Amino acid sequence: MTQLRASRLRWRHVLLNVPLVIGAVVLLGLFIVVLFGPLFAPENPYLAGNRVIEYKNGQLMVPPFPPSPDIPLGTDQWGRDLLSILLYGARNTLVACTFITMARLILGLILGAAAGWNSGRLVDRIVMGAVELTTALPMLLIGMIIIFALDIRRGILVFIIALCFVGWGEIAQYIRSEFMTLKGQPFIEGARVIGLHGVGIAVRHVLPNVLPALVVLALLEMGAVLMILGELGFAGVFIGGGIRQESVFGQVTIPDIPEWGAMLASSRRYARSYIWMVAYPAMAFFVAVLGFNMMGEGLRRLVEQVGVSTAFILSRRMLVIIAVVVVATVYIINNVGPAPSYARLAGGFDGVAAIQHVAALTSEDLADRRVGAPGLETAAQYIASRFEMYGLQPAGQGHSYFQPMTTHIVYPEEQPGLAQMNAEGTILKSYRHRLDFGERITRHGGSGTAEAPLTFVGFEPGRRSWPNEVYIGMDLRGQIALYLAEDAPPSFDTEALIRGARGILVVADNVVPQVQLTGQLSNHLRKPTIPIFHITPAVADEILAGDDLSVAALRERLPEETREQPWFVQPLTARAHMHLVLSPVQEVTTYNVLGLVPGTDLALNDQLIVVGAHYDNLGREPDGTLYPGANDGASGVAAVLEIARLWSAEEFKPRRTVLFAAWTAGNLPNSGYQRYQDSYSPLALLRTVAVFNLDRLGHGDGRTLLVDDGANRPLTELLGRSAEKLGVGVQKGNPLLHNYQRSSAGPPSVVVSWADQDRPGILSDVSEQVDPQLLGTAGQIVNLALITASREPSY
Amino acid sequence: MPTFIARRLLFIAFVALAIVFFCFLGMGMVRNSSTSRPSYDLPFFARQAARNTIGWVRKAAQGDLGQVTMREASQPVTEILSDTYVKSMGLLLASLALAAALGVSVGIFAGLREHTWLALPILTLTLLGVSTPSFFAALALQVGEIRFLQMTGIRLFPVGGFGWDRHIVMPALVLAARPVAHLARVTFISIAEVINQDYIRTARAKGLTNLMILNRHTLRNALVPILTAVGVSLRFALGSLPVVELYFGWPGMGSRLLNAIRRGETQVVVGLAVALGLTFMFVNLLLDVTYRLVDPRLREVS
Repeated sequence: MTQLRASRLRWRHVLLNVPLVIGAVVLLGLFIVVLFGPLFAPENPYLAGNRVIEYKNGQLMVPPFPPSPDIPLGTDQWGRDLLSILLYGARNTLVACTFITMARLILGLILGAAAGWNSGRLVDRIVMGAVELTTALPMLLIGMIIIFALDIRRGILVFIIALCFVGWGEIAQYIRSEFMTLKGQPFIEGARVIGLHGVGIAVRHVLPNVLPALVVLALLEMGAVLMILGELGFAGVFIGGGIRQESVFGQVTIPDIPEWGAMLASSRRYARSYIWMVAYPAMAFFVAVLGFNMMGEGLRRLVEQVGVSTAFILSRRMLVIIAVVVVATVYIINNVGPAPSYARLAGGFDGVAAIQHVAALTSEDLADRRVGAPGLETAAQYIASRFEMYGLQPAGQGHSYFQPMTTHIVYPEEQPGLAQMNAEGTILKSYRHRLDFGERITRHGGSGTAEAPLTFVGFEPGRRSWPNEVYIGMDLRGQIALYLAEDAPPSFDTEALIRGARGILVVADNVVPQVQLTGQLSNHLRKPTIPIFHITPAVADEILAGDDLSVAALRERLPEETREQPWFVQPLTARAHMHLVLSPVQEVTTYNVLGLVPGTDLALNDQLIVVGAHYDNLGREPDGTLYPGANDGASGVAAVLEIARLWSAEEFKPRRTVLFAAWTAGNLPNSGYQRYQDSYSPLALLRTVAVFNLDRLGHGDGRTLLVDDGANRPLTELLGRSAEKLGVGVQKGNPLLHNYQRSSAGPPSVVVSWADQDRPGILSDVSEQVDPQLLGTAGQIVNLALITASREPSY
Repeated sequence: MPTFIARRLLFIAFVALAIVFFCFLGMGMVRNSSTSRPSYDLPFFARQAARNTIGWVRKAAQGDLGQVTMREASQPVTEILSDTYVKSMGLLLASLALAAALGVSVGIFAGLREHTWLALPILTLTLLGVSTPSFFAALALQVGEIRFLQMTGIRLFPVGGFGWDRHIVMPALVLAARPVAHLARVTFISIAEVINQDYIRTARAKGLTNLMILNRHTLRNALVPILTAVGVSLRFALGSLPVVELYFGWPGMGSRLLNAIRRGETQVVVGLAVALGLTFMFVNLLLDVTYRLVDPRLREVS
């Protein structure tokens, strides 16, 4: 009986141990595949599309394609490369297997130890009864019931719970018997004699003696778990449960996560006709199970030969190896799942390629993209042709990409003018249309010329009711009325006209010309018309400076001055010149450009994600000034187009339906985005879960992305996570310039732009002022957020 | 012995009841989780399952295991049970008999003193057998048969369908694969252990023939581990049963249960699961009793 004597571990012990050698070789191979498998894979299953029809040897073939030199293991029935799924799947399957094994070991160890230490008592009986109960039925069936009961769609967690529940019994039984044997050993008596407590002894003295055997047990258990994972897969139960899709043959379940069990599930029914589809995953299971069992058996034999020695497993060299394995496993777990694939796809966003769209949209013919200008329609055609090129489905009216929108507009025929004059009538300063002031076309606002002294009108802050009688005594005859927008009664402009004003200047933050006649047409351009301009606070301050006043000073005086009556007037020494000549009212039809990428998941594709940007700009002024809007009005659309191109080139398949949109009339109060939201189209049947509106992505500091989210935290957080990967911060920004970008009502939406909004002259940017690097960074962030939102069941 | 059997029977009844309860609980949650807004209110489901269990036991006492409606035709579960039970048990019995005959004889042969060179190949091969997933074994057999057909033009056995004739060969072989390996392994190890004992040497010294030594001394002493291995093999076979039935289109309990779980046919799941569990536990009880008959030492302990 030489075996009883513990001998030193020698190489011949290892090399003559056939199972150990085979097991070690197989496990090493598996480890390499898990670590580096994706590097050898021809394609990435997380993003890949499918081979549909191929022309080979003079005939058309449909999937599944048999193995051939360019597809070494063939494809499955959806035309997906099996080798890639197998290599990527090794990670998912083996990591899941490890987790399940660990859960089983921990539960089995705890319950087995409790039962063994208290053998014969109630705890022991309960544990043993539970073991009998869990082993009375085939593992596969109980596992399947639990998995379905906890909802298979919740992924790996359900599998861990279910397969841990059905499999801890054997380990518990083993640990229990070990504990029962060890309990009677003299060294335990010794520990008890020196006064240690029950639990202390169990943990400190019994457990270390069980550990080496536990290593063997863990290896054998890995094999058992893999086996049950394979059988479950073969029975059609696999991690995540796949995505359901309607087909001509009825509802089918398509595995979406590369995993060996899932491969078996989808190919089972082809086991007779297309053997390769089943053979390779089945063989993978066989080899892996064999590897673990051989390794476990070999190790057991080794321990038997060398003698049970804790020191061997817990030696320093062994600990180093274990540490390496742990580090590698952490790396794998971090890189398991779709996130790295998403990041890689998102990183494909090419800022330089996107600039081409900016250049095209700001080129000679398209530079004037006002609503009603021919350039806008050309731009719409350009965008639609790109959508078609990228394979997007038309989502506009009548199977086209275009969604029409009819609106009424007027434009100045001559360059609108605003000038400050002194009391003698000499012009002190002329102001720039659009930048310093803008016309307002409501009610009586319209064409007219006025040159008159200014009178400031102040109103009681916060007052709600403004009956006509309160104005008694106000005299604005021959004056230009100047007042602050924030406290003004809603239709004071009309009252000012009645009181004799020749023109009106309203101090407001937003001086974008309101040239769209929204609502009832009869509410616009009522005769007589007078010029009504919005001016910026800066302009107002310059005008008021002559009287030693300022907007801030006047605002401060308001409460006091309006104590007796709710308004006060203060004549100013300054005079102003106002000039506006409008074109007749035009009815124009303009188009949203809409392209759809349908979601591939039947459970999710009734949810819609919209990514859009407006493509119109301010166009050309009567005096010839051009506002190409390379940043505001082109960079957003360029990003949308580049994302569409990338998705099509990489054959990325979203699960939710994604609508790519170029909005018209973004500069007008009633935009194409509103038109889209109000419209009744087939798209209205889908539930919009997220809207990303992009704008001004080509200029900024490159460090902070402004996100205006209304009150929609999840989308901001999603963008924040995406931005973090590129070292960009996300800040909640103020609403941008355009009306549509502020609509907080409706579906969850965000507006994304660089922190650049206060830069003067942004509207007149040309395409050279769009930085490809910044556009690329912003595009990658938005792309990553969009990919995640379109693919992940919850984000 | 009678008290031992009575206690075991009581325990079996308890486990059967627990199976019914947990099947109702699980299937109640399966139905719920397939809705769009599943709830995980465990106490609620437990109460519901308890009510169902009581109702089920009451009806089962009268021989009514419920009905299942499929394509507007209603079928009693008892009918499904009796139909699939016979088919599954026939298959199991055939494969276990095959496994026992093959496994034990290989184990004995390799374990005998003059065949020590067989030890390593037998242990490695049996490990290979135990590690073979049933679906892989089925696939390998099928591929092998197709190759054979292509080479010789002889069709050996059908690779699918039901029948008590040649149809049973392939599923029984696949089902027997792991039990054969396990039984051969255990038999080999226990024979090899027993054969080194002093009393075998004594028997040999007495001048007994090899066959007599094997029958009277070796086998009897190695029988308990072998019987235990039969129990374990039954678990192996039961575990693979659903997959094998699915692969070969054998209309037994395993594949019917898989379908029932998928379709949410609670009554079928409960009925078949209890029958399966009871069978397994009764066989184990039978084995336990047999140990005690074979080995007097165990009798005294209990």
